[in-house]
Amino acid sequence: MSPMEAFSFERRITTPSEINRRVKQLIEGEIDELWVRGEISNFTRAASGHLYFSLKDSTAQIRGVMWKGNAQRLRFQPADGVEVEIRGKLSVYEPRGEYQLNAAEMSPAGLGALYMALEALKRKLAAEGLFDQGRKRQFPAFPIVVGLVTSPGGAAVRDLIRVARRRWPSVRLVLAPTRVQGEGSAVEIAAAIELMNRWGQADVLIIGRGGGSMEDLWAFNEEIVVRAIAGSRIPTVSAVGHEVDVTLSDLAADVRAATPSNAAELVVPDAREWSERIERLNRQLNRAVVDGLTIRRRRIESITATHGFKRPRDFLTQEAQRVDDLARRLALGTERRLIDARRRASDLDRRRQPALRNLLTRSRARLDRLSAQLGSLDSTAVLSRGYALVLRADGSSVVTTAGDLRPEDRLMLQFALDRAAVRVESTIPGGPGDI
Amino acid sequence: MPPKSNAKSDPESAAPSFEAALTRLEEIVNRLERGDITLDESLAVFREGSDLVKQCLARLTRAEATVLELIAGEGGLPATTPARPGLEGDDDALV
Repeated sequence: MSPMEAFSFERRITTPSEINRRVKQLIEGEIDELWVRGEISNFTRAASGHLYFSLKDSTAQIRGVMWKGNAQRLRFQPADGVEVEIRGKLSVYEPRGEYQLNAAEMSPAGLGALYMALEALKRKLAAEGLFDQGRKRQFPAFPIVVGLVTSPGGAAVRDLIRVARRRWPSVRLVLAPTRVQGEGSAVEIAAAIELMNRWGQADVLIIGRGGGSMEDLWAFNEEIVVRAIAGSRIPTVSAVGHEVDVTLSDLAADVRAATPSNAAELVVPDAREWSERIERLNRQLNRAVVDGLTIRRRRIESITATHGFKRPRDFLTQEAQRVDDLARRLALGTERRLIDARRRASDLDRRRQPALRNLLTRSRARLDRLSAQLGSLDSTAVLSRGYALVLRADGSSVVTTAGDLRPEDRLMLQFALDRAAVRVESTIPGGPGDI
Repeated sequence: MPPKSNAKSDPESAAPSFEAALTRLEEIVNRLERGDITLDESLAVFREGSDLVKQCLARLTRAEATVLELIAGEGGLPATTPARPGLEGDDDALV
């Protein structure tokens, strides 16, 4: 055994790598995940997206890192001097023998506890089913009274009123005023929602406030408000002005709007859109009634043309003209009525009303007579009395005289209910036969 | 979420709600367009349809929006009062 060997046996020599590995095992094995509070310094955001910083208090500091994936979920911007609370685990960076705090989550100091309470409340209410999609109700397409639960002093209420009135000028808005931030505001909001429900005349409730920090919006995360919204018999729209954070009120409401203005747009229909629709219906209405008259006129014409009923012919042509005339005057009349309605919506034109009514009454009497005549002159009524109509075999025209026929011509006899195909044997000149 | 149907009547007037009037107007137009209707009926429903058009347009242009405040009145009962100044101002609101 050489002296060197004996020496090395007594000194247990290790290496930096091994020490770091053992320290790493020791620290990571013994110290569980923890929450640490401290002030950020030496903050840098690497090109890779990872965050590096130190966390210090008045007498000490440790190094910290937050990997890109967690950094992307941050809801605030960390910076030097900011007091934060970090959830993380200690680890050792072996190449340098440095230990560091590996941060999973970070929030401004003080909010951390609040967020944890919020998550706990969210889980509890979700478990009760308060946020279930199945609970979501629809609200009326044309609400007559819209309830507002918000602050009477904020920009939010003015935005709501302005947008709602612009869309539907006769909308009725009822505001249940409440504070929306600060101590006790949650109780007030819940009371305002309950008051609206006791009053019971609103068709839909818009509950919210303008944008603000998460602390400003906190009342809308409080259990009493969330339960009041979930318990409202009137459908609810939440309008808490903040794009990033979703409050528990948003989850409990039937519909979530991003801002108060957006809520007014969702709830109040647009009168301009609907007046276009009404005018389209009005044009359809006029066209349909005129078309109906045109079809009747054509029926009269086809009777006079094909069947050659001599005596009533004049009467029918005259009535056809009257139908035309009526159609024209009707269209003219409604056109005027529409213009009138639009110009002076609430003021009836008292002189035109009786005139139009008379016109319609007279026209109706005339058309009633015409309808009766049509009934008696209808060809099937004649045919069922034992007459038959003689047509060319292809049905193209009526044959009114044997002079038009030659032997072997093919013809069709139209009876009241059916027809027969026949062939001409011979034609006999002379006057009407003795039937 | 599509808004649901609300056929209830305007509580302050005997006239049908806008939505009820609209629904009836659509029925009338459909019926006239189908054409299975007598002359008598077509004139009667036409007249009704024209009235509905007039009513609906009047409803859309009527600018009588009100803003009220709901407060807990005597015994905590809900009561409405005119909105405080600055909320009801027509000129501001309609700009």
